[in-house]
Amino acid sequence: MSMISEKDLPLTEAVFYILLALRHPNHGYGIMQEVENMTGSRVVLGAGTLYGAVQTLEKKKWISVLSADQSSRKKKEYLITELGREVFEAERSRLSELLENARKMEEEK
Amino acid sequence: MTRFRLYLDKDKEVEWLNRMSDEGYAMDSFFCGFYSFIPCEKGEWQYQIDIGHGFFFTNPAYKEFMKEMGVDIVQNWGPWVVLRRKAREGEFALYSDVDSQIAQYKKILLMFKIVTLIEFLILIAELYGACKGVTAAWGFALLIAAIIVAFLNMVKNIKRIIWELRERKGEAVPEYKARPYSPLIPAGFLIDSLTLIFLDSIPGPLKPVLLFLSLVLIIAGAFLSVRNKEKKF
Repeated sequence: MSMISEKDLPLTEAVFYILLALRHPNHGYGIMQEVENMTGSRVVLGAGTLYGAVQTLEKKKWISVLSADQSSRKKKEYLITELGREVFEAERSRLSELLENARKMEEEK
Repeated sequence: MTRFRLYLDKDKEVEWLNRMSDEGYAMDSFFCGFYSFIPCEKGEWQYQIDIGHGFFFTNPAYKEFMKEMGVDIVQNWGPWVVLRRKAREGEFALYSDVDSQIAQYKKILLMFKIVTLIEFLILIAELYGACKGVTAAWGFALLIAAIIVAFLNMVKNIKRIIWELRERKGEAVPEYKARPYSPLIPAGFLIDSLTLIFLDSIPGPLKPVLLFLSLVLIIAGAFLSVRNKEKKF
């Protein structure tokens, strides 16, 4: 059974894009840049917003910390987990329902 | 260069730090209201203030994260942290969506509430001393009272900001009614308090004048505060 509860959805725009940017390993600055590029600079994540979201997502086990090497100077990298992918998928189908229904606006003028 | 300022409102403090940077002065340290500045290019830095995810200190994970995001931590002060980034990297906003802005102000609100509660406890202790016949204790009690009024105004101010953010988010929030107390009240308390604390070194004829002035300020402040209640923000 899925572990996604009803109050997990909808995702905020920030969480949606952070999860998407973590489909491959990425660090904080990388997430910010990727989201900025993807959205044509419409969504520029603030450092505080990103920190808070990453902490929460880590706690919820939707993302995990990759680089275990604490001693290295390498930036901390994160990656989406299986649970995170499930949540993202649930959100994607919620959003496609929205878009599907939005068509009515054009069709039934 | 050193400047002395006391800020309760971090938004106003940030405005001031950015104005100083625009004039070519970069704040580089802070201690007890003393801000020290060193020369920089005009508008080189953009400052922000955050509550660093810990009550008495800044969380090390937060520090590390900010460093990786290219953000300088200029100063820690209890739970507060002053951050800056080069202005050429673009607009420096710490919180980019309404949800995280609300979360930040809720944390600030909690901190102000805790500190105000502690001040109330100190007030009670001072009043106890005053009732035991220590004249200076009246002075300190009034001083604390002035600080409490200022803090209560901050609590109201932050609640109003949270209320506005929630409304912007589209939440159905009941009308926000709280209005700030007039600053004349803490001003009156302060004059009264200083008069009592320095009673012996104040020239005789001045004493009743100061006490009368403080009384007028407190009454006028109370009157204005009641009238404020009907005003809209």
